[in-house]
Amino acid sequence: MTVFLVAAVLKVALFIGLAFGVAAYATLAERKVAGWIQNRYGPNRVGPWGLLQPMADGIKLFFKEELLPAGANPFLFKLAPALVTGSALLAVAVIPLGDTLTVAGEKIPLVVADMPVGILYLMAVTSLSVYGILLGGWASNNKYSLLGGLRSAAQVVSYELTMVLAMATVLLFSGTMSTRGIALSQEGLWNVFRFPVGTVAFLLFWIASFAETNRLPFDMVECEPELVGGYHTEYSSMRFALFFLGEYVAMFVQASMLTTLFLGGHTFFGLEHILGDPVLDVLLGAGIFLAKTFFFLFVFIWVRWTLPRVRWDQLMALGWKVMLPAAMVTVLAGGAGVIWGIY
Amino acid sequence: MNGNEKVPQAARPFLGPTPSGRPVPVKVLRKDRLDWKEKVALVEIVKGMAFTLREMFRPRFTIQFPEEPLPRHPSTKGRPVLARNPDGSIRCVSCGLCEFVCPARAITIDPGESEDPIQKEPKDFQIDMLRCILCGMCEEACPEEAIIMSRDLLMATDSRTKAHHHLEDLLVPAEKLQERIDYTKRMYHKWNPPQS
Repeated sequence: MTVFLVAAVLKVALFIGLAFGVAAYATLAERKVAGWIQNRYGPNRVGPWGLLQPMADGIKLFFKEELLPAGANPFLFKLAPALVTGSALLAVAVIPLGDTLTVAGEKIPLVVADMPVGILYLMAVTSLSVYGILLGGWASNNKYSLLGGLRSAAQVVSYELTMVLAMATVLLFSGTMSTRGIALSQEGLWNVFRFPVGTVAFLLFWIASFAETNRLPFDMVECEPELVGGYHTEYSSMRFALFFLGEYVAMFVQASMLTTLFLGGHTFFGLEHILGDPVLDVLLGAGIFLAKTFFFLFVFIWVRWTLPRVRWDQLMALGWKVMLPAAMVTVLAGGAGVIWGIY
Repeated sequence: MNGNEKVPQAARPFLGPTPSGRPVPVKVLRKDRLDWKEKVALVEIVKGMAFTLREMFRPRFTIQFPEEPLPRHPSTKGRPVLARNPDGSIRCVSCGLCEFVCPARAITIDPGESEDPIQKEPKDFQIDMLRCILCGMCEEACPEEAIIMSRDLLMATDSRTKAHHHLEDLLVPAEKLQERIDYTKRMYHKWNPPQS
């Protein structure tokens, strides 16, 4: 029992630290990759290779003045950033970092909460972040912020449908809703390689995840040329930083969900058992999981500095007229495949 | 050009009123409708992603400024400095022409004796960089090619006393300034051609 409690506390600390660390360094990676793509260096002054830049940014934001716009709703204005970051952090609980660790006879899965309804919980919690954005936009008493918030709501609703249907395809394959179970069910064959249904579902989920995290080419929520800064136009100091942090933690969650649902989580064609030692193998599995996640994070950044923003009506047309029908067909095909034993 | 000249047709590839008022017929070379492949844009997205990936491994344009010097043309008029001959002697003879011509009165010369019985040598040569406007008139006035505008533009300091440059701060080996000296000579001869 004590082992279980200590392990739970340690795991919570590890996962929150991991999420915040990845989010902080994702901001550095974003600026570095942007620099490389534009033939620049990116930040390289604070610390060796710019590695202390996130700390410098954090310290700067801590000491900035907090502004409350005239006519803003103070309670909702202060609540909104907390909702965004909080919902993103809640979702970290179901990330299956690795296999089961055995300490003092006690089996400890490397996931904070291995729920039988993990995927459902994930969808419920990640959808909460849109409330934060909507409230932030509304409480700011600014037309641009309000438009940003409204767009966010419409966009997330449209793309979440596609996302859930793509997830449902995976659930048909794996037969479980626990994230760890889904990762383990792909030990033989990753869901991406279940051609064509798994591959199509993967692509749909991937595209929808850009819209979910409000990243370019679907960042209609911020959309600087039209909406100044979108929902966070009026925010400053740590409240702005919380929005920012929430966005990057959400990116981390989406990247790890792509890894878990379609790329086999911590598995790598049996390579995760190569060391033979139970503890080292778990660590290797966690490393494999993080490598895959960082690849997706890199693609998020790479796409942002390559593709232009789509128009608002194009975004909606893509979501409702292309992605949603495609996702429905994928689910039907996946179900038929499972019934007839193809997958 | 007063606008009434005949402009050749080939030089006006755009649609718009010509001097004669008739519109020029324009042939649009690109397609005005996209086919389905272009509408889906998947090929273009892949091309764009490949392009940015390639760019990531190209050499950088950035110059790491305080560490790496910026490339500067010899026409740059930076901090004025005094040339020192290769044998160690100072070129300046304290004639006072630069001091006299300086519009900002930034130069103060303290003349003194030198080993040579017929000419002087500055005991101290002060340039107040808070007054200097980098106009380069001292350089033009100097008969000895002694005061030269260097390429050094980093003159920021945190105190007034540091902004007063003295003789020992100003002396620079003449060979480092040769490019600027040659350039000013060339420009001088360009604008003042020898009278025949």
